[in-house]
Amino acid sequence: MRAVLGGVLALVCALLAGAVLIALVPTLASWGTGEPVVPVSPWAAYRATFGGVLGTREGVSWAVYHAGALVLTALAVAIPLRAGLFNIGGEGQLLLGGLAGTAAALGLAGVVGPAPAPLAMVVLVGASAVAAAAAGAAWGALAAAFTRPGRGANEVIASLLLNFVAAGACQYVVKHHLLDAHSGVVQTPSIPLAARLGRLAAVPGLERVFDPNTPVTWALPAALVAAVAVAYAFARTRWGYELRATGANPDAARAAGIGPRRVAVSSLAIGGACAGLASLALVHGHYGHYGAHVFAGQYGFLGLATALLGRGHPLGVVPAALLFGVLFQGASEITLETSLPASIVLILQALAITAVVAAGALLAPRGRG
Amino acid sequence: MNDVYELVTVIVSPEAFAAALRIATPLVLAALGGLFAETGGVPDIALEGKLLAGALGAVVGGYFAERAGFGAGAAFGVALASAAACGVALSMVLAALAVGLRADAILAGLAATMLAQGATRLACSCLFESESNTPTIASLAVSTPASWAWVKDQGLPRWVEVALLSHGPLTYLALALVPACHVVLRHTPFGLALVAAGGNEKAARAAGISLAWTRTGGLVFAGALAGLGGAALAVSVQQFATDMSAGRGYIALAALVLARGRAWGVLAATLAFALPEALAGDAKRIFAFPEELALALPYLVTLALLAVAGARWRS
Repeated sequence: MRAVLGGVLALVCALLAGAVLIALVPTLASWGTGEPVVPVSPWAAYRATFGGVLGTREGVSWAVYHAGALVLTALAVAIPLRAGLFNIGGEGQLLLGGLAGTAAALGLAGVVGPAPAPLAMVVLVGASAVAAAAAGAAWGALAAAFTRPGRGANEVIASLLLNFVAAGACQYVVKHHLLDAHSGVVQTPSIPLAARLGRLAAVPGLERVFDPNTPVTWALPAALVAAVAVAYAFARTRWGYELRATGANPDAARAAGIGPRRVAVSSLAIGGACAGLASLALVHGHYGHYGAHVFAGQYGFLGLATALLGRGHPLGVVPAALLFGVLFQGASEITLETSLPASIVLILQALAITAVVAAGALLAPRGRG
Repeated sequence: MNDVYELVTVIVSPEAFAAALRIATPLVLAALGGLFAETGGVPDIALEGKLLAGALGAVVGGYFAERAGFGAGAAFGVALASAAACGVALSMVLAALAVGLRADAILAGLAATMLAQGATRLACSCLFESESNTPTIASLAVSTPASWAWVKDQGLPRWVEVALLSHGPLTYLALALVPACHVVLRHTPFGLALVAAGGNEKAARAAGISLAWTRTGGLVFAGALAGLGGAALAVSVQQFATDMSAGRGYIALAALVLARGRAWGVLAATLAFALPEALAGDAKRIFAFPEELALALPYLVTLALLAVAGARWRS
């Protein structure tokens, strides 16, 4: 309860600090251009961001579409974080997962061609999910190989550097092995329609909530189920207990017979699998092909921000993902409605995380220090 | 076989050595900064953010100094001071969170890096009306000793000119700072206080050392040095581009891991990371190496060295 209250207070502080910053932006801009100051009201900016998104069915739909992917990339951070490990390689795990999922859908398209439609859908989506999760898990486990229990945060460095390796490798594979020669862009051919995720707006009744023209798919409920499953696993399974014990006190956990290496590999691999699965929301849920532009939103890096905002709790990341989903979508509203640049949203996100980190430290129980 | 022969001639060429030094410059400065923070017991995950802040700071400083009518040399000085100040400012955010509020240093560093990523992009778009990059700042271009008339008159061997005299001032500054940092950390009261604060908190406190102030002091050094590292990035292309640090802050952290707390180790590790990147262009040409993989090479080399070092220490 204290933690939730602290988080809400922190967000209020961040929004106030953001308001001050928004008020200062026009002055900064006039220094650069030498033109007179055109004031921007922070209230109008916030109304454009939140009102513009939450006021329409379309805006809400896009926000929850972003949030669905963010829940999964945030779980990729939250799971290892419970064991005291920082995974900032979500972007690379997402990219590789996306490539594997796309390749699976493209490769199996010919095999299941004549099968009846529902069976083809199950096979294609299922195989894509398995491939994406496996690729993400492998990349996460690779970062775990660099951890040195009790000796600094090597996995931070390794997981981040692996992002660049994954980006290069994926770009290479798409360009030289999976290129759609007709599109004129570096992207793969489209995956078959049977591999696409169904839209929630197709469910009777839900079309009043979600715009049928937006890619809100079954990936969203799947992401929520994943968050609940992780929360359950943390609280009620042996694996979750081992993670929590290692995160709370690595030496005590090791003395109790919990292998630090197994904890590192399993938590980073399962986290990586979540990031890999997030790619399905983008490729199979929205674009229908794989290319650098599909991942331009940097959901992997945003997942880190989301997890930090949710204080690393698997259920805390859900409201955090919704907030960042709204901000993500609000970036375009804010540039339409005000003279502010879209990057103001990045600052708001960073301020929110800084405030939450500060609040977390203030509320933490203090030992003798 | 001819390919290999050609590669060897490239590796031992003065051009490759010069390129490695140039590439290593921001890494050396950032890693030396990280050394001060880490010695004091605060691992500085925000080096990436400080590189970005420093790069933007250098461009903004140079831009406004030019507009105020400063000469090229003075504008360059203002750019460096502004870069260091931006790095220190970000360090103070980290100090407030990690030292003042005793937040987890890694969480605080990640938050500070995100602040820097957002703030540099915002400042870039406000001041220069572009989210992606600033215009070219002429005063960031500086002459190298090899181009000075009296150096040319000396008739030095070509390899001396290319390998040693073809660099900007920040490269020489970085090289000079390696022994300087070693002396500050190991032979001054402040450096020894940092070592104590990072090594044994109880002993440090018993010796009357203020942990908070000592660590904050270490972070001031970290911010200034990493900010200058950012300036080196900006100087190399005379402009700022969004996210131009491209993971170099984390490569500097990897160099710190390999250096194991020693300033000389920082220089050796960063050169080891920089040499393959310096050769990537030639390797691509000689072996018809795909470009996408050549771009990933510096990160792969860093990871490989990190893995080798980790395996050696475990045994």
